[in-house]
Amino acid sequence: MMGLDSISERKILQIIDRDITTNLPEEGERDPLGYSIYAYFMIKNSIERPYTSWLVDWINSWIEKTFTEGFGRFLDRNVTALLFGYYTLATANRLKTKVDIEELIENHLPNYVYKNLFFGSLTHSIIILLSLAGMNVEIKKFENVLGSIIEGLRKGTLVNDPKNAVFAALLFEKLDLSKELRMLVESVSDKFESDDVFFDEKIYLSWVLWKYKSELRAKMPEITGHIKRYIENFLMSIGREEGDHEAISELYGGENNENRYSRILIGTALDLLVMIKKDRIIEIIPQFGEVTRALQDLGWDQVRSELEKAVRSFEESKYSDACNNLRLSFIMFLIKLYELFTGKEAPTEKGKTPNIKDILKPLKSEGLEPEEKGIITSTWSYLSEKAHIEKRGTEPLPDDVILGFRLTTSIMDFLMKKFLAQKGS
Amino acid sequence: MVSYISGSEVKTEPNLLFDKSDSSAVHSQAYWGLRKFGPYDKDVLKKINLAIITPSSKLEDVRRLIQDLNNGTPIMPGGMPRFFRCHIDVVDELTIESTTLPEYQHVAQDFVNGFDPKEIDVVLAYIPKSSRYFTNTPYYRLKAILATHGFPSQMITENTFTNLKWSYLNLASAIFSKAGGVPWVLESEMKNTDILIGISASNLVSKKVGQSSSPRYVGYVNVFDSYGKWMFFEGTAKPYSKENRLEQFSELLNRALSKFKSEKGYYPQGIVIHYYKKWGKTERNYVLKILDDLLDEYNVCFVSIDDSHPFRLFDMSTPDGSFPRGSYVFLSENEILLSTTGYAEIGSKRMGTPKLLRIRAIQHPEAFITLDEIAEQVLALTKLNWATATPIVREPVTLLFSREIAYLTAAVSEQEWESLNKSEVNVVLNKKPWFI
Repeated sequence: MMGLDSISERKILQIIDRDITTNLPEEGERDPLGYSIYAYFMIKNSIERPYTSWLVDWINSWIEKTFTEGFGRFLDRNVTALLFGYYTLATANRLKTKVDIEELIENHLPNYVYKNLFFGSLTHSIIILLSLAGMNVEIKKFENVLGSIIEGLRKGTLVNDPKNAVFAALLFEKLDLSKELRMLVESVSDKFESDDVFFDEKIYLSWVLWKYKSELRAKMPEITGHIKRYIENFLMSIGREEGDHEAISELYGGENNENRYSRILIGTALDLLVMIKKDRIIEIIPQFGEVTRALQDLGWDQVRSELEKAVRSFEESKYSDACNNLRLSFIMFLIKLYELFTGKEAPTEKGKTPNIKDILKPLKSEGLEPEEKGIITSTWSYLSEKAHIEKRGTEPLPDDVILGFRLTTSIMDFLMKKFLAQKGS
Repeated sequence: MVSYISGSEVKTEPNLLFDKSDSSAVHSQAYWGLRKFGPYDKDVLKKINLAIITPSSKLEDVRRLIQDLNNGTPIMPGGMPRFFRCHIDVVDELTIESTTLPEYQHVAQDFVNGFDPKEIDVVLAYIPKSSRYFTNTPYYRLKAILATHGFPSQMITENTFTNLKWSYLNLASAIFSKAGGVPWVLESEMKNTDILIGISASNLVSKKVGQSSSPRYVGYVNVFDSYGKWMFFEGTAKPYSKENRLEQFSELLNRALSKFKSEKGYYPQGIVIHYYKKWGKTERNYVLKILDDLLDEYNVCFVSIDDSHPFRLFDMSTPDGSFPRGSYVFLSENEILLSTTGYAEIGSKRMGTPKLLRIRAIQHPEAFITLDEIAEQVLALTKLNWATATPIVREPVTLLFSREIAYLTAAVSEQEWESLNKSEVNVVLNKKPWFI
């Protein structure tokens, strides 16, 4: 049995690396949704690989091209991929192309409803509605589609294709449909424990159960244990052909497993592995989850993104990088507070280290105590010191980074409670 | 004297797609694709309601068969839930005490009188093995009685049980597709082709059960989309006499194209029509006239595919000397001989010398696909018979389905044929390949 440390997204990232670098331009035309889903989960987790910006550029140009040249005959695939790709890039501020998405949503999308579902397909309907909800588009006119999705949940057809569960959960969460979300988590939990689910596709079910494990209450410790064991087996199974006897190969040919992965599955697996890792950090640093959620609510995405990058660097044993990410997150957070209280840009110069004392000035006039200021400046010094490996000559230790995490998130938590509550944000 | 003919090959084995909403669920072989990704349609069927008709002495065997399909076998691990994302629910079991034709007919009548097609997805019937050349057998009569009342059926015989471990997946796939699910389609579209039509005309209707004194005929089409996905079956509404044969083309094509438009939202422009006979000039002109009336702009390719020729090809460079699958030679500028069952990397188990397909193509108003592309299409279409997961199949599905129906038409009466095409039955059956 492998330990929890073996639960790493490295293997999954290698598959994505290879897929994008070798297949993207050609395969992208055939599977734009698969690549959009890669982008969605990578951006969500602040995963910046050498090819991430290439993927983002490709999606931008594909959206523009598809808008200009038309959807062709692959309406279902292309419309779904376009809306999901657009939503992914727009919410991450990485949309470079300008297309009339409203025209598509208002004037064309209603025509694609067939049997109360977009293109007669549950999966397409869930992903399209999720994209619309994510872009804050009023989905009232597609109530019938949402009704069919909920009906599919009640009848069990929705979970019959387990990937639906992932996107339906995100959709229900976005729309605050807590009753439906709970029903979904329960039915996924039943399916996870039953025998009639294919090994690879347990990734989708595991994703739902892990993300919404608080819904599972008493069953939670048992289920999370099962998921961890399953994930270890899943990671070990990658690239390995199923050991069958010769007769099967003789009649049906060999499995030829190379590159035979569903992109939706791989994207989901990546997100699940990152979630599991983050939870490890949360176990060590109690404020981490609360702080990242608060940052998300504030729309301070860069601050959150650097914090999440710090987690990834830590898990990859890049400890000075982790401290640098924490340092950046910390200073960006203080700059955001400065801007909030002054309504002006913070006094920073490109290429120069900001002067923390200047940045804290407005907080001082809002009631920041000297001893509080002292802890903040000391933390800034601590993080800067640990981030600069060239000065010290050695990498910080894991415990140094954990201390950095604790200091950073505690101060963020404290300042948000003290100043944002008073400002009514 | 040695003469040389030129040839070529389809470079790669066509890939199949196993998920409607996930274009990366792809494999070249149906078996591995289903095992790894499940079927193309995943959210259509959660369970299949099945009724069983069997001699009482075989009931336990049939029950075990269903249990194995649901629970899995060494060749089909995970069974129907893994391979097709559904399970079989037995709704009723009807037993008979002998395997005579009258008893089967009697139980079939009782069954159709007692059930609504909405309650039963497929009827599984255990029947004695009989030759396909005899039409008055439990196989054809049962299939005809059930189909004319809107029930697709799957027949099993003692042969199913003698080779059971290899029968499971084929049975499962046939049952799943007859219940309305799509097991797989082609990964990529066929170039410049919107619609593929397998047409069949002049099929004699049974005189044994019918009332007519003069011979009556029927025609039908099977329509496939650009992914080779079988879309629907359309038959002539009524049997006709031989002299009205060409008029039936009009009825069939009109209905096929209109239905295609209502499903896809557009009229096809690139049309390929497969016929198992040589296209005559009169037939072609008739089709063109219909297309001219119906479509503003179109290209049509008349493809004849047959194996009634004396040619055999060999290749001494392959391990078994057979002419490799996907290879073809040109007999003329619009005629090739294509090997579909010769040596191939996928699935090595084959028997005998490949029987080649002779393919002839005539295009109008101008050529829009090359003969190489037609060879590729035909090869791809050999992989779309949902009644088998075997990787090497000789005939394209356009011809295979036509022949299956042709066997059946010889066993049905005029009234039965008309029932099959009645709207209340047609609405249930025309999206299900009940005839495979």
